[in-house]
Amino acid sequence: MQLFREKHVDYVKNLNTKTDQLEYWLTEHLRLNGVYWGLMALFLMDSQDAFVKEEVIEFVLSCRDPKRGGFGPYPKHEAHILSTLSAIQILKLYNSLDRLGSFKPDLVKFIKDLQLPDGSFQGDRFGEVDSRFVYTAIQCLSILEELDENIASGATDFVLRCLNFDGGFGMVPGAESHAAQAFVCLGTLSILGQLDKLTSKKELISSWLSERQVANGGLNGRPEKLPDVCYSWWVLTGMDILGCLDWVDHDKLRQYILSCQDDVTGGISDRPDNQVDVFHTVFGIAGLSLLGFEDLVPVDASYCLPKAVVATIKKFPYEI
Amino acid sequence: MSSEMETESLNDYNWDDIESIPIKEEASSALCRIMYSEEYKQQLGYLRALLTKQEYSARALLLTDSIIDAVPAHYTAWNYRYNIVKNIDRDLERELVWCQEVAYDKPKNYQIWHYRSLIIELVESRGGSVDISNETTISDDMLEEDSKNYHVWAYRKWLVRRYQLFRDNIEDLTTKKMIALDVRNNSAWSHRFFVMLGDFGETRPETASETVEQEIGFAKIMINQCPENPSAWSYLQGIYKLAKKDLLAEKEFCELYAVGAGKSDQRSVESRFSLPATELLARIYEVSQDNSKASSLYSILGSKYDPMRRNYWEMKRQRLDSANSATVS
Ligand SMILES: [Zn+2]
Repeated sequence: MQLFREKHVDYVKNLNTKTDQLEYWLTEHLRLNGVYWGLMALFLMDSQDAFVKEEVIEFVLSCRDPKRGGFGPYPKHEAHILSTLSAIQILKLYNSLDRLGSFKPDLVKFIKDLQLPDGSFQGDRFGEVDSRFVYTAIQCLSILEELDENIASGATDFVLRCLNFDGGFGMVPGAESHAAQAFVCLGTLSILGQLDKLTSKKELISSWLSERQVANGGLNGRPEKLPDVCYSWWVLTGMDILGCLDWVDHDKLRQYILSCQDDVTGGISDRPDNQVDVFHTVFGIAGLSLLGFEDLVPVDASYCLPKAVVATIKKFPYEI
Repeated sequence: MSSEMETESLNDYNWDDIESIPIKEEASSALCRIMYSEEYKQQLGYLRALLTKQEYSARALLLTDSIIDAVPAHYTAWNYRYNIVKNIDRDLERELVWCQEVAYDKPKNYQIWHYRSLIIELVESRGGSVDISNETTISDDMLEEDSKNYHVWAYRKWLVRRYQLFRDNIEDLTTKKMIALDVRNNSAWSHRFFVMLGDFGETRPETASETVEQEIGFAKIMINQCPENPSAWSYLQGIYKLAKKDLLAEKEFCELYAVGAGKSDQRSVESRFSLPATELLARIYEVSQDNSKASSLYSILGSKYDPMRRNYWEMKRQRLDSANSATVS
């Protein structure tokens, strides 16, 4: 089997023309995230021209929450850290961070104000805490090149506290190990240049990640759970960051991801024969890129952006 | 629909003052427009308008109920609801009942658990108290539906930490029961580790060492039932690491279930084969300088028992061999 490249490009391109369908409205609270997922899938397939750049940038800017300074998922929604990262990633992909203009100081303040005394970040004023939000905030500040020592050490301490006895990471300290949390915690440490803080635990973490491959080649998120295409990303990224990508079987994983494609509509689903969506489409493609298959644009494991884009981001700690 | 929707309807309120902020229509061909979609779109329009006004009112509360019912992950609606509850004189007892109904109605909804903890904090900050056993019962019910529901377990840990339920009788029995039902339920193992050892180092040394011995025993009984279960082996090793105990003590136990070890050869090897036992035994051999035994275990794991991860096993074997030759020379 092969990657149905053109079908996937068409699938992503048509997502925004479905405004007459209920599904479109039920995902309004994820719209900006969805735009990033779609655009990133296109970038990896070197087909970014399928979206009209200026229209996308206009939409991003219209999602800004002027009261809070961050971005909501849709115009007039409250700002949240997840949609804020999508906005920043999209602008970065288009090399258009300058379009933030005078909004930038409020944006940076919005993100920094979400950090709590224990180093974690809440997603918005609702106060939910999750290592996901730490990663999201740290990536935002990294792309904006606004990290500082204080923020970095707090975030590092917090994600290290999320590391469990089995070598996995949880949503908060003590919570069960989950592959998605391994991605965000390792991604945070990688972006902050703090991977050496893991010291002797690296091998246990790598081993836990490699145990996620199941007999059919797919990867799961926790022991005894079903495989799912998006874990190709959550698990592989951690392994790539720790330099042990070859501890799972690449060919079997490739076969699994490809078997989740819809050969009629395009798009990729979580498991074979399920309904496709843009989320699993981008993470399936990104997984294949990380494994070096299908001649895709190389992706950076810590940022989920093309390597060429990440190369333009100033590395932390910044030189004075 | 949750209960308030049955007794109250959005139409009971007057919305004439609200100019629903519509969404710019993008080239809609309207071929298969669904009624429900229109209704939901209108509610989103109201939500935008009320948010802009920062209106805290009964009708706004009801609107969030309706939107959360349609889209449980709508975090703007959750955030807004919390602010409404704080700002109007909402009966918090009723709010907790509402939470419970939403949870039972939409088991996959995870924002509800954070929301519930916020309401409990609000109750307590106002000098009230909640019945913890009720919280336990609700999460028990949820776990009966889905024994690996990540956010319900996270909520349960929040309860343990907040109310200091470490080694509490109910938590002990609940995790034992769940593990008995499904010995491979990793969530239950994770919870038990937290309940039993989550405050390790803060307790009296006697309590700590007593718990450690007891839990090592428990893990081994469960391993006897299902030797290939990785959760129980992780648990066992986690305790050893936490208590800084020497794993050498488990050498004979591992030999019962590992391939290539003397004892298991007398059993029906294939049926008792345990990958975690074999890996741990190899590690024990390694620390006790029994390098050739360790090396042959790594080699058989990669070639025969776990070929998907052959590079991992090969790395371990090679590292050992090069360390070997370094000491010889
Ligand atoms: Zn998935």
